[in-house]
Amino acid sequence: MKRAQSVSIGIAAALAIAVGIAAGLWRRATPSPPLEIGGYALPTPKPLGAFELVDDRGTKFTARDFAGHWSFVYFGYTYCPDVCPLTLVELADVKKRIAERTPGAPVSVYFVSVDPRRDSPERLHEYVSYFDPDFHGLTGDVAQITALANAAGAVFFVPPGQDEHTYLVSHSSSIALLEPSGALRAVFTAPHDAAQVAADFAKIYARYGGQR
Amino acid sequence: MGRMIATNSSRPALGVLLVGLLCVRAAAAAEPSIHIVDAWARATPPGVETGAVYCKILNHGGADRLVDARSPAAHGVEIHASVSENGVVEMRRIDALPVDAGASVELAPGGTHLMLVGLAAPLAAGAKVELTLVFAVAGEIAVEVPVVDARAPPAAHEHEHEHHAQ
Repeated sequence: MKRAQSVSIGIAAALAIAVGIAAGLWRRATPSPPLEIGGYALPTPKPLGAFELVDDRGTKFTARDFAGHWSFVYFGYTYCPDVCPLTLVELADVKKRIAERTPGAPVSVYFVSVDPRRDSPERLHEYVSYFDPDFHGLTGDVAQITALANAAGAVFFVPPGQDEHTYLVSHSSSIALLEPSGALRAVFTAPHDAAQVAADFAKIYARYGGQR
Repeated sequence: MGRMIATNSSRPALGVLLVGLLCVRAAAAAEPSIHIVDAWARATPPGVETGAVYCKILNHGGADRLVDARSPAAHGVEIHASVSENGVVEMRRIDALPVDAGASVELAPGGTHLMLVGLAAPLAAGAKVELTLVFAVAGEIAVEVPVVDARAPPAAHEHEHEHHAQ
């Protein structure tokens, strides 16, 4: 009688342990819910791959130069009178808000030209500095810009049938966030609100900020 | 006006006379059916060749269409819409912007706007841009557009409001 009882307790304990292990394995195999942000955060950051561009001071810029800080990357062009200035004003505000809210996080903002034919480094420098003296501009060969854009989840194209001087460029309205390893960590989708993006960044930084 | 009639109700003759005079005055003034309010132009970064103008078009009359625009500040003025589709933003040129009878249309950042193409000089905050809007029915409407530095927080914008005569 006593023996039967202890056996059943043993079986119950073994079952409990088995269930516990199974649950643990299941939890490990199942991704934890992603952070809820105005866009999407990647649970596993995605490396950008190779590209070679030139910054707004005429210096060579490669994937390695994104390392060591968080980078907000937006694709646009200086000929764009509406959406691009609007987004850069928001990004300047995002940068200010992060400096107040998440002061330990080093943050840089990059405006990558999708119109290298008209956007020289000099022109980009004047343009981005207007919005924030610390903003960076990147330009270069279309193929290299495409490599970076696609790695950052962005696309751009020149709709056909336009004047060669006053043509407009279509481009993604999203903002990519790279973590300090240089890999893509999140994409913010439009419309962009500086308070929202700064709050989302604080969440991302809290969860992934300590990792390298 | 209703209050005026009420206070003068003891003297109906005077009330009728006043209402009659007001009607004559309104007819003589021939109020335009289209009003442009809250117009502003985005101050531009150095070296930039394009600008944007935003405003509200109020239509107190019948259906109309904005068909053209011009400004001495730019080589050309185009009616544009920033259209977002599948996460891609595209600016599209609009030939005519309909303004329904009694309706208002807002030209705002990130949406419909007037694009100044080929700026003669960068638009500096505090300056004014002369703009002529051409409507199919209402004809030409001249607007003086203040240039606003949009980098400041939106609450700090000083949009010029059209003042209506009392």
